[in-house]
Amino acid sequence: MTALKVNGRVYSVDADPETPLLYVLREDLKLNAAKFGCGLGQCGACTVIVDGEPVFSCITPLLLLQGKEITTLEGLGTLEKPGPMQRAFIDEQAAQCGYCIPGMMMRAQALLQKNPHATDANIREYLEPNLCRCGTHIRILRAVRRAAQLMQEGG
Amino acid sequence: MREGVDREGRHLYPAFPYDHFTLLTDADIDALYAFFMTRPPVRAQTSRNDVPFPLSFRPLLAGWKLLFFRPGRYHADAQRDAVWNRGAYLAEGIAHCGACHTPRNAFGAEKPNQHFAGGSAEGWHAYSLNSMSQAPLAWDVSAMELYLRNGWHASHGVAHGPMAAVTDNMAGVTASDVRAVAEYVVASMSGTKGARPNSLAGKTDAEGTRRSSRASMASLATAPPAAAISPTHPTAPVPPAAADPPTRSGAPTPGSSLQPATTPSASAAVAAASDDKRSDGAAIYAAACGGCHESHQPLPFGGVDLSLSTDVAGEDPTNLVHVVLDGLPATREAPQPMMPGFATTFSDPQLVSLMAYLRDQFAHKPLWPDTESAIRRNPQ
Repeated sequence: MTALKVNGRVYSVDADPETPLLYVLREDLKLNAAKFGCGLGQCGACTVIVDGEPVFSCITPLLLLQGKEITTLEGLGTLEKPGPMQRAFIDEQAAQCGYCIPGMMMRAQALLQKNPHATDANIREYLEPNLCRCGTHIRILRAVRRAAQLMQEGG
Repeated sequence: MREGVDREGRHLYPAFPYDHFTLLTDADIDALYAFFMTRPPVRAQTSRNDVPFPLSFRPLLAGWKLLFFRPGRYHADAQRDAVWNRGAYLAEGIAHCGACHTPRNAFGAEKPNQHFAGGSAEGWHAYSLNSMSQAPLAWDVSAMELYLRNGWHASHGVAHGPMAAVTDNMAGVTASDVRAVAEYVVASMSGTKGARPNSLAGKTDAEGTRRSSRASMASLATAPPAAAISPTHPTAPVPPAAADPPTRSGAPTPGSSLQPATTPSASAAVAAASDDKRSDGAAIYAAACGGCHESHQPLPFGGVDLSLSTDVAGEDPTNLVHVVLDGLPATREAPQPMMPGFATTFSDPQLVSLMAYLRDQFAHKPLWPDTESAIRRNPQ
């Protein structure tokens, strides 16, 4: 049994220590926001935040996560009460197929937590590892800028 | 270009590699000049020289040149064919491979008696390109040519760090010239250790008298990379690169230093590991690296078979640390294999145990003694 701290809650997980975090999130904890894209750490659809840093959960085994704080998109808000990052993506209608969007939001969240005044250049550079095949990049950038604004207004 | 002197007559620091450019022909220098003069002018502020005193006193460079700089054009070696000579001219002159791949003494001069023995560049290690090369699979000319033009080779891996910029440039160089450089470098790898080609300019009797002072300077240099290399490194048992790149399932010739065809599965490796560090490393490898590196897919779709990797088998841990922590970027112009970095997920002890496992499992060598300092040097 492995203890896993996700979105502030401690779960006891019965899985092999080599299991990728993504599988545990989706299959054991039923937290389905993080997506399986490439399974190789190349597309970013599975991005979650671990101790403040964006991490590809598909290539991060449980054995590397002892004592660490994991945040998934579910940890940023709810359907009824979306957090600023989620609010901004809804307002800007930044998704087309939407498969990459949870990863985009998590990486952007990590950036804005570290640097609330990130410039456009900072945002573009930081989001570079996350791929979107639909091509909604301009809306995604607008949504991240709006999220930064909402976070500042919210205090 | 030839004398290391600027228009005002001031000596230049050898950071500008005039010690290599001095070999260029008149025609090539003319051609370079003609090309530069077609570039649109830009206004650019030359950054301030922040070399500390007393090195900031330029006239000292006259002494440096007297000791280490041998001006003169390239002289063809009549014992070698035209392709080798073309390769030597390019590699030693304009491409200045030795500026990174030859170790330097305490005064920043390349050690002529350790030509291509491995050096450093911008915080990366530049592997040895002479008979001390630790490449698990001996390079042949076609593999080297492909690597230089492509930036990667399925049986050797991906150019990274400052070498990535070199292969990006080489992609635009005439095929015959890339072939010549490949011929020259591969000949160097199978040649005598530390021998500098006779044909290079400035090979004079004065060298004998200089060598004694160089030897004492060399001893001042801290930990030359060559010290970590076993002089008895066997190159003979390594099978020559086949036209068909070997895969994990391809059986290497008996007695080769490659992995056995049947690599134990990761879980078997865990069970077999006697110490915890190694078994941590095996588990991390299986879970974080195996998805690509055990995928049985050749580059650029899968990860390179690590039993072929010079980063794992090489003389210095620096590049392996860089690649594991920072990955290989996907941002270069030509399509390239890429790799995600693990800086945010691996702790230092986890990285050490992973590297110990890789080194043992794929190179059958002990962990580098300076692994932990290489990790501390990484900017992440």
